[in-house]
Amino acid sequence: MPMKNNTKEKKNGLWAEAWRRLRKNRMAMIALVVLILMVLCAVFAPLVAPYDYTAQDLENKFVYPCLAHPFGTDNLGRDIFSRVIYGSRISLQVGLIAVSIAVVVGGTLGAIAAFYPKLDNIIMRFMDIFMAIPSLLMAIAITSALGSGTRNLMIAVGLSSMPQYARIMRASVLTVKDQEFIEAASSIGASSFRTIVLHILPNAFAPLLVQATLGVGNAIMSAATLSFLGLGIQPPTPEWGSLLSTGRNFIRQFWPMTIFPGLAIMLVVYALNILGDGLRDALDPRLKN
Amino acid sequence: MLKYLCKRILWMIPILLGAIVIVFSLIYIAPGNTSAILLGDSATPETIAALDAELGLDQPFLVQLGRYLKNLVLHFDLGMSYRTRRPVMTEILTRLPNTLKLSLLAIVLATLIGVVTGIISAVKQYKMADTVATGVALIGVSMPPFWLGLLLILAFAVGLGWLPSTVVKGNWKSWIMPTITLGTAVAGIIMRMTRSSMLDVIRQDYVRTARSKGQIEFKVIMRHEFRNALIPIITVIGVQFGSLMAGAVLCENIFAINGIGKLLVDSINKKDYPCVMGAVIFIAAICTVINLLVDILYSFIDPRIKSTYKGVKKKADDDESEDEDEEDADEE
Repeated sequence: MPMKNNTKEKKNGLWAEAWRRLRKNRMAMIALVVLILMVLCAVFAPLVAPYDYTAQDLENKFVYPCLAHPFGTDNLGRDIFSRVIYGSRISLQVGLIAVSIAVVVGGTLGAIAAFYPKLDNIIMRFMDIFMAIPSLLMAIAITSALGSGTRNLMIAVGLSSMPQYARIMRASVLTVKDQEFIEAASSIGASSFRTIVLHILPNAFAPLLVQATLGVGNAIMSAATLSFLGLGIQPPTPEWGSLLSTGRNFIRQFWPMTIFPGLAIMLVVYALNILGDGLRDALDPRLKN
Repeated sequence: MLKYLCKRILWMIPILLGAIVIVFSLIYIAPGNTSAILLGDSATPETIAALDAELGLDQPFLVQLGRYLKNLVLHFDLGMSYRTRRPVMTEILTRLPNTLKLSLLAIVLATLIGVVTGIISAVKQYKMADTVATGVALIGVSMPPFWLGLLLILAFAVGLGWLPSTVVKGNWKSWIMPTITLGTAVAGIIMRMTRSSMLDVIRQDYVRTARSKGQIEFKVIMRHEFRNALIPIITVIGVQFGSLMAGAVLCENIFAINGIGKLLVDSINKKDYPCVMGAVIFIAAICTVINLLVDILYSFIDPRIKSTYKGVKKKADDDESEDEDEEDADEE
C-alpha cells in the first residue's frame, strides 16, 4: 500500500481495504463499468435514444435491425432501441427503490430484533411467517391488493424480499455487538446511541450491502416478471418486462421484440451478480490474505 | 428426535395461520367491489347489497376472516370461485397434478445438472471446466426465466419446429421446454452452492487422510467430500423447490399449462379473489411442508445432527463421525 493512503486506511479500514481488493477483481470491475454505463444511459436517455420512445411510424413497422434502427421497430413502428433505453429508466429505478424499501424496512427490523431481545422473537417469528409465502407469490398477492402501477410494483417487490434483509441484518448485528471494540467503545464512555450508529451499524452493514447488490438484480427480475404477467407496469410504458409481454404476442412473426428487452435484463442482472459476488469476496475478511 | 419432530410439526400451524391471515388481509384491502364485478352490467345498488349479504362481504373484517379460517380448518374449504361457482379447492386439486409434474421435472433436472457440474467445478477449481461451468451457471441465474421460455419457443417451436410451443396432453415432448425454462435458474443456483460447499470440504484434513491412505479418487470425492458437503446443497434444493412452485406461475402462463399458477393469474385478471387467496395459500402450505421434510432429511444424511437431537453424544462408530472433531479446526 502506498504511504499516502495510510491516513485514510486507518480511518476507514474495512471499506478502503475492500475497495482495494475489489479493484483487483477484473470481472467485478468490468461489471461495475457496465452498470455505470447503463445508469448513465438511463439518466441521459433523451440524449442517448435516437428517437422518441412513443413516436409511431406505421409505415415502418416490424423493421429488422438496421443502421437507422439498431434493434428494429415494433408493431407500431416505434424504435425498439429507444424503448429499451427509456425502459432502463423504469426498470433500474424500480429495482433500486424496491431494494431500498427492503433494506430500510428489513434492516431496521433486523437491527431492532438484534438489539432488543424482547422483540426478537416476535419480529423473527413474523418474518418466518412472511417467508412461508414464496417471494414471487407474495409480490403477486401485494400487487393484486394494491393494483398495478410503478409505485405499487416497487412496494410489492420491496416488501416481498424484505425478510431476508431482516435476517441478515440481525445475524450481522448480533455478531458485531459482542465484539471487543464495541465493549471498548462503551467502556470509554460512548453513549449507546453513538455506539450503535458509529460502531455497530457500519460494521454490520457489509453483508447487507452484498445482499442488496444481488437483490437489485432479483428485484429487476421480479418487477419484469410481474409486468410480463400483466400485474406490474402496463404497456405502453416501456418497462423491460412489459416490452417482453408485448413482444410475446408477435413471437411468431417478429423476433427482435422478444430478444432485445430480455438481453437488457440479462445484462444488468448478470453484471449485478458478478459485482455482488466480487463485493462479497472483497468484504469477507476470511478470504483476506 | 421425535420430540423435535413434534415441535417442528406443531410450529407449522402458527406459520400457516399467519400466512393465511396475511394473504386474507391483502385481498381484503384489494380495490374494487366484488359484488359489482360479479354482477357486471346488471348491477344495481340493491342487487349489490343483496349479493354482499349472500357472500358475507358486508360483515366486519374479523368475522369474515374467522369464517374463512373456520371453513378452511374444519372442512378444508377455501371458499367458492366467483368465476366458475365451483369450490376453490376443487379448482386447485384438478390442476395440482400439472403443477406438481412441472415442478418435479424441473427440480430433478436442476438437481442432476447442478450437482454434477458443481462437483466437477469444485474438483477442477480454476481449470477450464470450472471457469466455463461457473460462467454458464451465472448466466442461467441471471436470465429471466420467462425470457428463456420465449427464446426456447423462438428456437425450437417457431424456428426449427421440433417441439410444440404449448403443452399438449399425452405428448411428453411438449414438457421439455417448460422443464428447461423452470429448471435452468435453479440448476445454476444448485451448481453454485454445490461448488462452494464442496470447496469448503475439499481442503479438510480428513480428505487428505483418505487420499493418503490410498482411497480411490472417485470414492474420496463421493464419500468423503460430497457427503459432507451435502447439507447446504439439500437446503438450497429445498428452498428452491418453493420458489420453483412460484416460478411455475410464469412457466404455466407461457406454455399454456393448466396448473395452479395459470389459475392464479387468470383469477387475478378476473378479480376472482377466493381463487387468488386459495392458490397462494395452497402453494405456501406446500412450501412449508417441503421445508419441514428437508429439515427431517438432514438427520438422515448427517448423523451428527441426529445425535444432537437425541441428546446423547454418539460415539464414533463410522467414518463420518470421526470427521466431527476435525470440522472445528478448519481454518487454513
